Amino acid sequence: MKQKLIALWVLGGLALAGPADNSLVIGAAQEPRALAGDVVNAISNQSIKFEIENFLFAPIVQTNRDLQQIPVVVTEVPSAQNNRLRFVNVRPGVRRLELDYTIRPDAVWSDGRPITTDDVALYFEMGKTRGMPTTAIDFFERASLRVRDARNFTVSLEPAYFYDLDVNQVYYAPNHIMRSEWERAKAAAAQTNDTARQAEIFRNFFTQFSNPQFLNSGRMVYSGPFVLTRWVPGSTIEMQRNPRFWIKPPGGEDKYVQKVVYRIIQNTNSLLVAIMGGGIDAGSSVSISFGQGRSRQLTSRAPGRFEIWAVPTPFFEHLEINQFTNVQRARDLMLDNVKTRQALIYAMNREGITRAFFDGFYRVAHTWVSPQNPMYNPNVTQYPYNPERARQLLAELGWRPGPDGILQRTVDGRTVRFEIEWATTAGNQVRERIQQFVAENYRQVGIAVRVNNAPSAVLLSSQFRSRAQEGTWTGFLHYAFSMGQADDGVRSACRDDEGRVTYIPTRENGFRGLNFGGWCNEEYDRLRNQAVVEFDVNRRKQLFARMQEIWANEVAMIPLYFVADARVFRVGLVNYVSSTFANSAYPTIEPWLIGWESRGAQKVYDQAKYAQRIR
Amino acid sequence: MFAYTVRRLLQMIPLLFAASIVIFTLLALQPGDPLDELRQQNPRITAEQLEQLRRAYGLDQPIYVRYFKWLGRALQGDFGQSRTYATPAGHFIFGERLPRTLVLSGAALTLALLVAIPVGIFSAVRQYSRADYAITFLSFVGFSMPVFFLGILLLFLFAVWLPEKLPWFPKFPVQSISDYQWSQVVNREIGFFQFIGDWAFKLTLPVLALSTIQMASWTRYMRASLLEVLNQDYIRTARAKGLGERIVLYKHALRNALIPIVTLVGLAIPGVFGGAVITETIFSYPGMGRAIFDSLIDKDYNVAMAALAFLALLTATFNLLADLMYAVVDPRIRYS
Amino acid sequence: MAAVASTSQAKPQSTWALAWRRFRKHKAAMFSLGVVIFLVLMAIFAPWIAPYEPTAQPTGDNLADYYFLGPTREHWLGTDELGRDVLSRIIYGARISLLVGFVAAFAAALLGTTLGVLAGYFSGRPLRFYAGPLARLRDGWRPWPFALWRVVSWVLLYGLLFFVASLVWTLSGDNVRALLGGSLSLNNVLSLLGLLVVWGLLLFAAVWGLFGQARLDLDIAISRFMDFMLTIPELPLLLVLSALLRDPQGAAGRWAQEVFGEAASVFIIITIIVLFGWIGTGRLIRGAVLSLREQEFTTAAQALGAGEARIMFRHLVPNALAPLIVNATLAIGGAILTEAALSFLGFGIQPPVATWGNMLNNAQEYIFTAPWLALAPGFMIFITVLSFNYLGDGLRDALDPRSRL
Repeated sequence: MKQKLIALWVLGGLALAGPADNSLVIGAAQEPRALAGDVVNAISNQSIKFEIENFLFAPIVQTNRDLQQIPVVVTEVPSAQNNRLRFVNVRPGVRRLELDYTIRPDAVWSDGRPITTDDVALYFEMGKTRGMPTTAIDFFERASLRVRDARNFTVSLEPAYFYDLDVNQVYYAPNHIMRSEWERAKAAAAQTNDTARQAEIFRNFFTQFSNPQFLNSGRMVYSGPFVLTRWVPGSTIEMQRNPRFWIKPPGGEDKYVQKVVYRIIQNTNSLLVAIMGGGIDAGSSVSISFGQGRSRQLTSRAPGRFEIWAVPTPFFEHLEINQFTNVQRARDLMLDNVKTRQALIYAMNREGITRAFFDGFYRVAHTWVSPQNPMYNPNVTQYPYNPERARQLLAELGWRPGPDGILQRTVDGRTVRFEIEWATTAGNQVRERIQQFVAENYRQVGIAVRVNNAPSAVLLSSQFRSRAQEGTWTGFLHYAFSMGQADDGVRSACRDDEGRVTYIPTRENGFRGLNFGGWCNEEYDRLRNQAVVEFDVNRRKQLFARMQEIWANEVAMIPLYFVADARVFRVGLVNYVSSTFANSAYPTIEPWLIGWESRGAQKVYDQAKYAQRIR
Repeated sequence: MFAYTVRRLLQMIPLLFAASIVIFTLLALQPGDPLDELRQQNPRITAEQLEQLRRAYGLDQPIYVRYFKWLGRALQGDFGQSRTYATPAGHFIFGERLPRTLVLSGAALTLALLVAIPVGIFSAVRQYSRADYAITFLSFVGFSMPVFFLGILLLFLFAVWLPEKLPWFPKFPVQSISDYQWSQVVNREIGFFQFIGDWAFKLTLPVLALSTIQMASWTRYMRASLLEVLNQDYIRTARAKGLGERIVLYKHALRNALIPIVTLVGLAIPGVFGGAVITETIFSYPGMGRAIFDSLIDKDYNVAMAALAFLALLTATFNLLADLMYAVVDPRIRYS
Repeated sequence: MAAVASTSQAKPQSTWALAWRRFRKHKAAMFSLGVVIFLVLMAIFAPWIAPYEPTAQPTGDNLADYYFLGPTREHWLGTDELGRDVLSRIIYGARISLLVGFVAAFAAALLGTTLGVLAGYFSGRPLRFYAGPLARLRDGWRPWPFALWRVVSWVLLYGLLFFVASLVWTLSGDNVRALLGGSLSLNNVLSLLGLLVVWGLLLFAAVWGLFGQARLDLDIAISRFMDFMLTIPELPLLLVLSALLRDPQGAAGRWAQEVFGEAASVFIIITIIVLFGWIGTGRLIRGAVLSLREQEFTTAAQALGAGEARIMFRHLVPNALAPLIVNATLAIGGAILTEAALSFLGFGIQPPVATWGNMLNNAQEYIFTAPWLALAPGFMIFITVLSFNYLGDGLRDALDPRSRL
């Protein structure tokens, strides 16, 4: 007994990891707030939730790592060839998209009940209910469902945008589990006009079906290749193979992973220790940082044990530039003048950053479109490090070196120093490092940098970020956003198709919009407004190519790089592969293929195709 | 004494009222609102939709109206729904996080006391000896070692480095929360000792890291307090009477030297409930400290408010208790 | 110090000379004093001592070759993640770290002493706090600050009453209107009852406000204020402060930008440490004054007709100096540690300013690549905390009138 106890202690709950019992232990730096029952994402839209739910629920169609769509719950992906995709012209410029789906006859829930159109109907009913606090509010306003029979349904979208073809937005919910409670919640919500109360009723409803207590009771059903067996809050999520799942991997499912365990370790340094210690087989998409992935303690232990990969992501690290001429400091520095912006970009040694900080695993970005995006245009103006050119441009604008070596000029009798404010998220070491690196570059051409960092909760709040017009930040705003597959260039847009300024946050529009710096270009806007409703890939490509040219010529923002993520997994684990876009950034898509080579799993996807090896 | 207690209790009511107002206002003034995340992730969201969501979160009402609505419900035990976790805020804080934190911080506090008091006494009795210098030095090392550093160091040593060098060395886990739950013991799925053993093993490192600072500073306080007492006239009198050194020390000096320690511990107890955000973060132990920190970052104000109001109540209570305790143990203090 | 020395005029030299003689016997304290003086000199003369600029970075092509170097002849303590000289950063870091320590400890001591003395001295002697416009009392308008406060307090009281009245109406108005409109429910009836009760109480308070007068025990007010401060959580306060001070639209933000510029984060840190740091000092002084004011010398001063302020700050405070100084020296080390912990949570002092706290926190990020980066700042924090503690020990022994020579 005593020996057994000690053995248990030693294994410390991480017992029998890896190929020994055909299981997989994944380490994640975040815990999902809700799982399974939160179908319209009323409680959470964290990426860790979506990553884990890939194991538990089969999507209607799946965009795979090569950006092809494959059917999972349905028989075919709608396309013009199979007559399942139609456009209807509603009025000039607005088209309705109709998509026909047929559910596979063998698609069943984990309790054996077939998946039917009732399940899809419940999803749409929930999402379209008034007062529902869903994040997909925009989709549900445009979408409607027509059920034809138990297995056939049509989804129409009006107005339709190009990304409606690229990204699956249709889901379903277990009608036989959730329906009766849903009717009750709906009735309760209809009793009141208080939107706050309604939202609370709905959130409580989803909570019932997505909290650990309920899921541990075993009353939830799943449709993916795994079912949830145990969730210890703050610690572990365990899943077991679902024998009823209809897609069988090559060689039979018993050759693939039978049990998946997520271990939640919030501090990434601690997570790194856990990986080095060998208790964890693979890192989740939310795990160690790139720097940690390359740390010597890890790489020296890697040979023969781990594979470490640098996977490019669409996470766009950049500097937005305040171009509001009503802000005095921005006007004094002429930040609205393209020559100033070009000087600022020439004076910045971006190649130095990618080489010295990231060993060349990161590439300098030229626009907001990532090289992995089909819309990418490689032939735009590039700005290699050229301090001479920067000095020349600034001299043309009337800047002369002052007594302290910093450029200055005289505006309306005032002497103005070229001191640019730089705001970024305090405590983010990579950004603070870049900030200080560039400050040194800038000092050499006579530009002073004034650091104004704030905790991310402050910096990324609407009161700070959206108010460049009021001078909350007057120079650079340094952060990153994700430019996914569905990106339509809205973050640099200015006017909508009716010519109103809607995408720049200003006092007049209540500080709505995401073009925080306020760059505004008429041609760009015209092309963009065409592109969002252009469903022909090649024509859209041309529009995007021109948009990128304008963007780069004008230096709408200063692009730094696209972040690469470090992904670690144990040697011999196959098809746990991450790529750049959408769902495939999660290594857990097509999870029925994940397995250990030593247990007979076959390699279908090769990580080398989508990433660079870190040694 | 009784009248004093009653008066102090009465004074606590406006105090807590004021504290809860300030905390609520602080939370309402936090930069950004719960809709920021939405704006960020849904660039296409319209003004009307945002307005609807604002109403759904009750953000359209003035602060004081929201406060009194909150107060009315909180007094009935309803702290609202957590915005980020699929659970009511009250259950999340008091049912999930508080018990865990009590285990970790309570164990750390106990360990710190168990070490600090004897070591402090030893150090004081042998003042200016070599052992005293060594203890002083060590306690300053512990005192000035930031816990975020100590934590990672301990983890790396006990979970990676030592097990690699010494094959017999038990590999300590990085996750310090056990998968075993008490209900499993009740259902006889696992043995009692297995349960206790697993928890104890996993909590070793965080308890060590967390208790270091308290251990170090209480050793110092214990030493100083005892030295102070040993200099007093009545101790000299006791010695002069010919009492044995042991009796003088344990019967006369120690009792009086413990008085300030009692106050210190009393004031440290609310901290036990508040958790330790840094230790909890490094050792993946989701307790109160982490809950408060995360709820502020995620703008989950129902959770933050429940936890912070509870801590304010505890702080005020233990403050009062420490004052009363002082009167009980120190006969020189009289309250009228 | 000078002011203090001149107060005990009987034998000013010998009191301090005595203390100094006692202090010199404490070897560790003497050594610590030397270390502290050395650190302070290092901070003051940083530009002349430091071999490099703290922000100087290498130039050239293979920048990565200059990063994370171990100790070399050129860089005695190696280089950091941007190739900057660690030794120079340590020397410059002393400036901010010691500044935070000294200013925070001094401000906390000042605030704590003032409030602690007030609380202790006036304990059990309630002061006039409120007197209504029609209240009959002697000397109702003297001294002039009280006259001013008397008028202000009327405005405050009636303003508060009006606010509460309207607030109750906001909260219950809907239900009451519904009740008058004919919808009879328990909730509505209760709302009406509540409204009437509160309004009745307010009316009573308003009448009392005309004739009544009230006294306030400063001790109770200040002690409860200390308790209140203990209940305020630091973290949300930090977030709010750092947002407020960054908002150029708000008055606080404009002021902070103008006065502190880049050093705003230093200001925030010091503010926070002071805000929560004075409470300990306050309690300590209050306790000391409570016993001191009963002693003969205070009574004598009162009999001689000394003013309240003079008694408090000329007679009581100097006598409570010993624990105060010890407390302050300990607080200096504590403040430096607090700054390090805040850095870990992202609220520390902003780059490029180097402090030991943020250097240590940076090193933590690279602990698995360049672990030695943590040694230098860690050691500096350790040696500073240690020195100030020994200094405190020595001072306590030296200033304690009971301790023998």
